Amino acid sequence: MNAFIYCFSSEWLKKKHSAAAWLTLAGGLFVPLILLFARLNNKKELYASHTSGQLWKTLYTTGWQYMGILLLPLGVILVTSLFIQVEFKNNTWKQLHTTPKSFTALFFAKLAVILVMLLQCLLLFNVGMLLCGMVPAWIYVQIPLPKESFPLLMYVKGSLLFLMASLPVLALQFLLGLLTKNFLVPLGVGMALYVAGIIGVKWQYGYIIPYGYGALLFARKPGVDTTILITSWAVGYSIVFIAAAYLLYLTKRDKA
Amino acid sequence: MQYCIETHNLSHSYHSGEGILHGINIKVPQGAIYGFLGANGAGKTTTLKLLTGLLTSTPGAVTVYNQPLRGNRLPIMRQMGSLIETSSLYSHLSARENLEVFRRLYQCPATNIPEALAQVGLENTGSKKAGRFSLGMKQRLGIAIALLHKPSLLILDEPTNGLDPQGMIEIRELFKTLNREQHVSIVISSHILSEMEKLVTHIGIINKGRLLFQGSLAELMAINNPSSNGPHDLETLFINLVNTAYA
Repeated sequence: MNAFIYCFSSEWLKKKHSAAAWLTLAGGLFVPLILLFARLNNKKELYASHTSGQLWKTLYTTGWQYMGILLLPLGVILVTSLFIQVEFKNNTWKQLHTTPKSFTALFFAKLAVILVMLLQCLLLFNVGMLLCGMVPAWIYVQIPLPKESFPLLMYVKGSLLFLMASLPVLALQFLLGLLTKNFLVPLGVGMALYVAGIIGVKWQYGYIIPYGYGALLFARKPGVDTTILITSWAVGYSIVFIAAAYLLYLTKRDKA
Repeated sequence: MQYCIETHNLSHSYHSGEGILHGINIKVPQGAIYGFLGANGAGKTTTLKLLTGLLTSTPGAVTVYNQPLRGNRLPIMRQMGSLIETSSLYSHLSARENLEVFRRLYQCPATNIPEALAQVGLENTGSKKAGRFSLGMKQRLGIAIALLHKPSLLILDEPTNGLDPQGMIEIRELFKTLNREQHVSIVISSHILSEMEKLVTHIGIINKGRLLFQGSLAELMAINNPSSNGPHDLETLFINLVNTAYA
């Protein structure tokens, strides 16, 4: 466990000043900032929305539609590919693999850092959504604070659900990133699968393409509990992809 | 004699079946500066990768301090510092941050960082990113990473690549000091034979994946070459040895 903590702390330092770290920050705040900008520019409807008692629910649905369907899967594709690419781009695998740390600890530390970055992004998104609801009342004196209190549990549950939906994407991108030096391969495959996932939302068996899970969570299908279906498949896929990535990493003949 | 590194019939081939190394038996005496010489493609880097565990699934065995590398990678790596081919640096981080990344993995004291930077003359680089370093500075930082945890064994592949003449002299003196004062054993490969002659105590010459010579520098110098009446410098001896192997 100690080895994992040291590896994690070393991996964490690598994201400093990196494109992946900036993308996490921008990805988490982008949708709330756009929504806030739109709300501030639509002053006429602000009063009604703040006194409706439905503000947080409306913001939740609108925010997650953009975040869950579009930004989160694309962000996970980009950040995961970029973070692994750091080792290839800088030719540092060989130095990493001559340190006295087990390959297992190195592998899971890298994976854990990406996972924590995803959590960071979701946390930022939620804080951003909270501000999106509050800031207009702070700026305009005639706009009251939202009538109802912030439904923390709903936002946490929603974040966990979309986190689960993103895990197979993260796991497959991690596997693809380890497979090849060429950054365009995981990126290209990820984008293609994302498009396939979005197209597959209306398909009866759309749940077999994990890149569309964010969108599928919004799709209501009669007689099907989409949440259970998606989370079950997401967990299964994640385990399979991570196991494959781990085996591939461990058995790679040339670790330079 | 005590050896810090021994290889036993070390062989390696690509997936295509093309052989790179054929039964290499290297013996690096403890406390030696072992110059590993060979032409391009002779198998130097492949050998060094095998010594550092970067290449696996190979017939033959590597022992470091009498411990087989296979099964003892972690304790061995604690004692080994390496620089294989070009330096491995995170270009978006400063020199200090690069060393911090590896310090956390080696779990060595934070004071090792300024010490390693001073050893290679990079103590004043501040927050400048490694990606903006000159080739020579990058190489120095690569050496600093290899020295960071104060290893007792250094494996260095072309460490003076990109260094100017003054830099080469400084790094050569650093290796000599480490060897003399801290008894660090060093395996070093280089193309610059005149530089190696001034540094090494022992030599291994590899050609087309086979070890042509191994011994002390004095032993190599003592080889009598009837075709040459002139002084036996390392360059001449190396070329003669390789040409004889071709013949």
